[in-house]
Amino acid sequence: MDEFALIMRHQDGKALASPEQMQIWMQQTMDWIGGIAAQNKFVSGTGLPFEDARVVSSSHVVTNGPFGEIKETIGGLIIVKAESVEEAVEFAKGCPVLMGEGNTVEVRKIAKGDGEH
Amino acid sequence: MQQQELIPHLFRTEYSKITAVLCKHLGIELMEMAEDIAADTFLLAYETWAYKGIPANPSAWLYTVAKNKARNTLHRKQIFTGKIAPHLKNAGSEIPEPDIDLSDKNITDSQLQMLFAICHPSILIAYSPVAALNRTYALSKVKGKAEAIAAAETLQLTDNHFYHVLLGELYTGIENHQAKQYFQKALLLAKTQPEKLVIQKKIEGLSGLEGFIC
Repeated sequence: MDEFALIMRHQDGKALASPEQMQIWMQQTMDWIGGIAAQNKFVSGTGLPFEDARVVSSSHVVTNGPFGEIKETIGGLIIVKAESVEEAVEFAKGCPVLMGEGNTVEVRKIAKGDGEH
Repeated sequence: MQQQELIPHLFRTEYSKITAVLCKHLGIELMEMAEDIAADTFLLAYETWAYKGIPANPSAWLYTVAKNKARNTLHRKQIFTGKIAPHLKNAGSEIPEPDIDLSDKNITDSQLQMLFAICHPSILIAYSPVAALNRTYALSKVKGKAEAIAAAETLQLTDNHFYHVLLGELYTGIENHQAKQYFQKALLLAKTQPEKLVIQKKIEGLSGLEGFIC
């Protein structure tokens, strides 16, 4: 069993979030995570608020961001356990952020450090 | 509580409370900032609760987050002020930590105070000196005018026109003659034209009532 990070990329929802929308998104995310947790395959997860987001570049220039050039950015990630990348992809397909056009979920295997990959 | 309605429900019950309390701390002129902090608090709630689950006491969670956000905002603001105002430079290291009180009592007081500030645009101009008067007004809403009059008269801010406006307000409907005297004194002391206009209207309103009550 490997661990995979499911990295969600979407737009900053702040501008259009009403309490009702927040409720719907929260419920969808909780249902999605709940479904994975029910199979005992949810490891951890976190939202990544856009507030106070900064990008530090190689010259140590700090910018507010990452907004501007790219429309969507990392909004959150969860770590799941899966037998294969295919299974992890199936979990990713259920992610509610995919209902937004242009949004993505990137699936990445977590390095175990035991030389078994 | 049905889980489907949690955030809209909390928004209805807590958003205005948080905004009112923050307004009291940040100053009414920073109302937009208070609203932003309250809105950000809800945004963070949804982002956090979706992944970590809903906390046992969601209202308390919101209060704590709003308090911390306000503290950070104030801190940043004070540092900024300290840097651009050289005479504040020395005091910069001893910025007092504001103690934001989100108790039921303070919520009620803050909401009343905000109501008062909104109803009396003239008070927006000089907010801080009238804090005591605002409390007295809140008192009138909570404990009745008679008690508020007693409290207000002990303040003896006789050179402050807001003091006279407040007493005029409190005496209105109780002793209109007295109310008129206070408003007239306030009119003499008022410094700006908009303030004078507001007070003038109050006096006119009283004259309209006189036939009925006095």
